Amino acid sequence: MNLRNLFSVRGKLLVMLLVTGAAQAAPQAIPTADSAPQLDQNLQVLKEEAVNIKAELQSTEQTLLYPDATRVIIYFSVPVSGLLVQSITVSVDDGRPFQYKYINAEAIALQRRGIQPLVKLNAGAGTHRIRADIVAQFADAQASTPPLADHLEATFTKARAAANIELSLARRSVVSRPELELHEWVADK
Amino acid sequence: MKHLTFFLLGCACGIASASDSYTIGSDQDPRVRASDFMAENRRFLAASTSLIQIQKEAPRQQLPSEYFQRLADDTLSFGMQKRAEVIYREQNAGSNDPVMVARARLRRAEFLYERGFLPEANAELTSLRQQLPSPLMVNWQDQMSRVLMAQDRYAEAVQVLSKPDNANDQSGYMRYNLAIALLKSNHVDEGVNLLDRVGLRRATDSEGLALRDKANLTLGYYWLKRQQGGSAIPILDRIRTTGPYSNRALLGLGWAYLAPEGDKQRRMKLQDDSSGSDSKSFSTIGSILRPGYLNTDIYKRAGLRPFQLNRVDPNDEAALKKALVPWVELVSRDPIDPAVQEGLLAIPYVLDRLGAHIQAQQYYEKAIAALEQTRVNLDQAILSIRYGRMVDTIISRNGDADSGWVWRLKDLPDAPETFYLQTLLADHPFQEAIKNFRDIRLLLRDTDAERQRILDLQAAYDTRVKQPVTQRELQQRIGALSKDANLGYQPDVRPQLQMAQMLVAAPYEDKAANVAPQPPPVKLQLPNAPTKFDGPYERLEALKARLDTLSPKLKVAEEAGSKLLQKIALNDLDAQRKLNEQYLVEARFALARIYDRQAHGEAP
Repeated sequence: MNLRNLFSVRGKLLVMLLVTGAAQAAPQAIPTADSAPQLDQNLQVLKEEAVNIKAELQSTEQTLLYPDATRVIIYFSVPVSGLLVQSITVSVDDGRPFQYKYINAEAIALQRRGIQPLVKLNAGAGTHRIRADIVAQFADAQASTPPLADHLEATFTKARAAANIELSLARRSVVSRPELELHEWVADK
Repeated sequence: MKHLTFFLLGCACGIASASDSYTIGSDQDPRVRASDFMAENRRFLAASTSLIQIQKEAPRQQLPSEYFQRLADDTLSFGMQKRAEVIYREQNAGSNDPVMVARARLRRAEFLYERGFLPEANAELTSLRQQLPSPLMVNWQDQMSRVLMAQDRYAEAVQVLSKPDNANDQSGYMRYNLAIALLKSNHVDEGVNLLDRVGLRRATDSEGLALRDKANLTLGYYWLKRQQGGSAIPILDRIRTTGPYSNRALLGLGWAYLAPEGDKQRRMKLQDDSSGSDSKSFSTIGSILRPGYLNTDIYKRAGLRPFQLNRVDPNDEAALKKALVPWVELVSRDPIDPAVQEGLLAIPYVLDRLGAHIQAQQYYEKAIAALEQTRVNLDQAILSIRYGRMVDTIISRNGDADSGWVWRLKDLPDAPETFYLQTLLADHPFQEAIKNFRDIRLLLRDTDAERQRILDLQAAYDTRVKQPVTQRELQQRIGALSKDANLGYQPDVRPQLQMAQMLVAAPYEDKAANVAPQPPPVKLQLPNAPTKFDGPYERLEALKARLDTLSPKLKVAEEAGSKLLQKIALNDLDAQRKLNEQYLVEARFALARIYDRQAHGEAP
């Protein structure tokens, strides 16, 4: 048998391999199991019910534990590109400090967009003192660079409605060092 | 005194909060921004819930379009396509941002495509084409062509990717898909040349390098299938020595040396032919056959003792020696890969032809041992999957994150039950089934936690101290509510105001005065008494009942999801086992032939 024949004999296996290769190269098509679309449809219905229950439970829980008149929610944001927060500690009116340590994914998400709901508590109308400490580091900082730390002591005045307080680790100008700031958000009437 | 202290403290600190206003549901709404953070963290269940809560708490409020856009996006990302579609449609009807609308529809079509609803995906994309904003043309072409190819409509896919002619804007994957579509629709020359160019594209990241290898592998095997070994060799040579396609490239290269050389292929000049190759910047399969390497005695490197060559044509012997080079490299790799298994058979086959019968026999025995071990491993994997261990092994690694539809299984745990399922990672049905299964597990955990929360809340509700309100507190509340009512906002305060006014008129306990007034005879009656009270406790009871209904349905879905995954995995393993059986049969047959020749006293 010469080499050409050898190639022909092995052709069967080679074709099989080619078929395998082609199947992987081509885009994927319909599900292999017939029940997949039906399962997907059913699951969508269950998901919708689960989300509705969850939303209603959270509303009811809030009504019971954090009524509008006393509710204070403290949010945290980091609108500085590349600044990864490592931890934050917050206390209100000398209450027990709340500390949160960030995993990398959360720190990355936080400097991309959105604000993190950090603490929910009850407080009466009037002036309150808030203290916050953060530790953060720029993503491209060298290992020997000490982390960025900042401390804030401030007051906010709570009316009889729910209060939304935002702690923000932001720059005041393009070149300034990021610092903690406090904002209060009030819903339009 | 307390207020004075804080005032002084505020002065000392020098910082007091600045106040900004926001419209409910707008980009500034802290709860909307919080949902953005959750979505960015791929917690789409939490993000959707948070947004729905805003709507439930302000049922009469007209929420802005950005709110609904987010709600639809997060809802779809959690895999609730039907719900998202309703929101998108309502949203699109009133939107004046065509790019945003088109982007939403493309996203929905992508979901339908990945979940296997191909006609629906096609219909959505076809109807979108009429109003497609030009910045999204490439995205549309990409998606439409993939849907058409999945439907085996290759000629139409070629049309979609060719008109408009925007090759420079298209990604490497789109060019690769166009090449495949051209080949499948019998536009062979264009398809081959396009594959060739994709195989020479500059690539800087692992994804780009993998695409280039894939294009070269596809083209190399295309030539092999047509017995054009001479054309296949330089193409397969371009593939990296280590990468997802390297084993199959090594196998193919060996066969290419043994295949007829074929005609020299002409290369067509196409418009985007300017891409240069940087393939010399890393180790490619071609470098295995660098000058001098072959002459150092490939037989020795293959662990072969000297043997007498049969009367083989010198040209054929040269080809056989060249074929052995990639194969010897190939069989040093993990025999789990079918390409390596075939390599284990290819080497003794060539040795037998060269006259190294004893060595061929030894190689066949080694190959049979490896293939039998693979068969044992496959059987164990099949058994593990039947016992349901595969799903748990995959899910247990990162089952806590609720990432919904956008999550993707990137690798598999190094366990017997998942060892042979690597090829499934690129499979939409498997990926989508895994995503759904994770979501079911997430919802089951969530419902359990919620049931416990309800019990805790009810216990707190039952045991909390119900302090009677003081006269002063009531008066303050009335003042505040009256102000809101007179200003005309917060319509919800009116019933509260009526209730507070009623309570002032009613008996009360003034804790400050600690004087118990004589209860005057009052007769309280609500004008429209509700048929049932719907307070927090009652709402919790209703939610508990809904959870009790939901949980068993989720259990049923979990069972179905698990079975679906098992079915997909077992189908894949079954195909691998059949291939393994075929290799084993061939190896045993070849070995028997050698024994037979020995028994008949022929030259072995």
